[in-house]
Amino acid sequence: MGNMFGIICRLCKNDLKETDDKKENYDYKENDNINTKIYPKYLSQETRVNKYFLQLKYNNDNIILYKSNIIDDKETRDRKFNSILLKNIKKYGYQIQKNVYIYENNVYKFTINNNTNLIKDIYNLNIKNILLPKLLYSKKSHQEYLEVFDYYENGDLYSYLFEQNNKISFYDKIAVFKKILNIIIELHKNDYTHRDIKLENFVVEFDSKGEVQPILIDLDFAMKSYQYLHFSGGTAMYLAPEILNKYKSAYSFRFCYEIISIFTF
Amino acid sequence: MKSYQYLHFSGGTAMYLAPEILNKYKSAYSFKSTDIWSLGILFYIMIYSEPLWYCPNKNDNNYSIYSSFKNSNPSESYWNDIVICNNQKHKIPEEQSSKIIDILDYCLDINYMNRIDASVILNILNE
Repeated sequence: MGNMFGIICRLCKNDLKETDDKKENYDYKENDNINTKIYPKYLSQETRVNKYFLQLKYNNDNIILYKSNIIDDKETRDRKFNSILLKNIKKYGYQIQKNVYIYENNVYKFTINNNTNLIKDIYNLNIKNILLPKLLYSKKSHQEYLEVFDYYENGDLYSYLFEQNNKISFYDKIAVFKKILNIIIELHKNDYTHRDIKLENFVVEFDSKGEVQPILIDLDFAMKSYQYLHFSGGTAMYLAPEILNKYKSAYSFRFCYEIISIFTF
Repeated sequence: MKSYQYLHFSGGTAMYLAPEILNKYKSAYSFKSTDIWSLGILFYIMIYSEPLWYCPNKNDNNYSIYSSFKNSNPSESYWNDIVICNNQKHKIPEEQSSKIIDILDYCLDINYMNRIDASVILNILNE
């Protein structure tokens, strides 16, 4: 009976392994939309990339890929410890993003993570202290893509302020907040909005003087500020003003004509 | 800092969300002003090490008190009470309290049209 039980366990384990491998077998292709000149050569030469293939390959070439840029789970902690033993290592974080299309009430809503073109535009603006992916690989079906970032070991601003037992004075906090404001001012000047500003979305780096320099991350929700607003009733650009009004004044069928007039125009 | 969980919406994180995003089926909103709102929340958390509210809707006690207070009284007096109380707790110099009140009052205005630009916040701090 013992033997039988062992065989069944082994069979089950094999099954699990197979399914796990299938799940992780991503097939990425380099995104043509992004200017490849800005990427380091050793990364841009890749055409077909597998998540584990990337890790295995670049571990040998003194490059380590972390699962996420800031999350410090057990896996990354072990990797950090191992990386101390090796010298001259380049570290990168990666993230897998999904493109989401929503179809509701006969209207296509925006794709939440389909911001590759936006990232390209922000690259060209050369705004300082914003972390953008060094690499983008998209899956053939365009359902998913993989982003590779620089890795920041100091963690995010939230953990710097509240979790690492740092004693920071009021005036130092104000100085950090001013630097945050400067990044947002630059973004807003160029008509971009981040839409998810929080302490966790700033990574900490130190200047040559040893002062904190926050770096903005996570542009998943970022948008052009004149981009369309989507409502349950349709796209805002085509909407009659009565619908946009907070205190809905009585609107009649007249707004239908208004929408038609936009089309004909 | 209290432990808390973040709720993720299509527009960002609940604690830092502007109220008009939750009401998006009723009203329009500008993206820049939602950034300013979350900057105000970030500023408060940075200085006082605690969140103002968890979500800007009626179910949240702190937010409902703020929104109902704003209907009947000037919002400045609301921030005045909070800032003076917190400054004593965190030993922040009194000269700074007027700046903090101004920033919170201008950033966290429920009417998104009244919120200021990020450059104006920087000017207030540099004064």
